[in-house]
Amino acid sequence: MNIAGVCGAAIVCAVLSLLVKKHNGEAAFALQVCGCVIIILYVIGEVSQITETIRDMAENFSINLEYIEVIIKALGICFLTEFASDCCNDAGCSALGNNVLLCGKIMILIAAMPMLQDLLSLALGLLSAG
Amino acid sequence: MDVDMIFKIAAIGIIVAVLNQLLVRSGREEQALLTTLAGLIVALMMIIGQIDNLFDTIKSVFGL
Repeated sequence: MNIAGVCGAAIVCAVLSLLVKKHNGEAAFALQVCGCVIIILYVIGEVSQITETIRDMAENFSINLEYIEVIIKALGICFLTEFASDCCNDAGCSALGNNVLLCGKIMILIAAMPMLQDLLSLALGLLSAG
Repeated sequence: MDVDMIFKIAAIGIIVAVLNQLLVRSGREEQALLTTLAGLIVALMMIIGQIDNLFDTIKSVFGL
């Protein structure tokens, strides 16, 4: 994991994009997207370590693994939608970007719905028991 | 991390910009437009594989 390499690649990509932008805006946009993809691809390999550690910790503390899976899935949806929305915003289509973000939020809500149901049924059970 | 891709796309952008200027100056606007289009398609074809790779990796890492 080399953070200096990531920073250098980002700066180089920004400078090249600035150079190309005046004469060829489409290529500048392609350059920006390419830079984003390369940097994320570089760092995403390390994220699997983090998720593995979180799963191990959850097992050690005997937390239900289903809940952890939901959180990790929400994190993935956030990654994807942020990337797509930033690309759309860069291309000047902020409406499209905001729609993608909204879609992501709804998807996360859908993913978290079973958890909410569990919580509510638990609360209901406690109330009826009392 | 293959930074080569960034340089390749920047080179495509510069070459297409130069060709575009030359063709416009010599009064061939249609060919200039087609050159810009071809450059964009080449750049996008290069990126699309990487984007596919990224999405597959994210899907496998986060279990989507």
